[in-house]
Amino acid sequence: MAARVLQHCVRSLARPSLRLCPVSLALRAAVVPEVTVHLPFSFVADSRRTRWLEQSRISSVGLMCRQYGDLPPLTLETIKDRVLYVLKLYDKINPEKLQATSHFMKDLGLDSLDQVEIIMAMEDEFGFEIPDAEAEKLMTPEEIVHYIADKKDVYE
Amino acid sequence: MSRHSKLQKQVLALYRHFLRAGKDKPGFLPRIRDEFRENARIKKTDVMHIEYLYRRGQRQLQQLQDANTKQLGSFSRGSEPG
Repeated sequence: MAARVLQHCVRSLARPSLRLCPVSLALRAAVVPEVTVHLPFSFVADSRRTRWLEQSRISSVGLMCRQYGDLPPLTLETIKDRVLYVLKLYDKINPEKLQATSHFMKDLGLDSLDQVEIIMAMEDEFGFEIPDAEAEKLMTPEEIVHYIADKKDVYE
Repeated sequence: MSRHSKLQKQVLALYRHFLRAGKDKPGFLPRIRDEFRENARIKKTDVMHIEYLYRRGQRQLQQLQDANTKQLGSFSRGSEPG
């Protein structure tokens, strides 16, 4: 039963998990008495069981493991999806005609002012500045994707 | 057309600064876009006109970036009877 599994986890990781699992204090208080009483387990364990078990797995790796917060890693696919998504939201572009290789000026009929707006939208989306000298050279979504991958060190 | 002239680059840089400055203040963006779109029609050879508009734009940008400028409104000719 699940109760027996939890009890086993507590016994095997009782000491090191003291520091790393502040959440499970209530759970441990429920676990310490004998397991014949199933009622407290059901309502405590259901919401916290998975979390506690996850934390128990983490503590088993080692006491020295750190956890950082960061955005999900960029891949070429996700960059391309985001670029195309932002372009589809732009009202001067027809979403059906948009492709990865469509040139802004020749295929989509935009002019340089629109291109400046598009590059600014990309800067807002990805959160970093693109200097003017390089921004005016980006004329297709493909080039934008390559430029961002170049700047963000994304390889495939 | 792939290479812009120096003046074109300056105009585009000005446009970029305008868009950045007008992002948080309501009412500026449509005006900025219309103004630039309207003036994009003048010929490339009419340098005096372009430079005049460029200097005017710089002064307006300074005004926009002033912290006291909050929003922009405009009057339009409505069809309701006076």
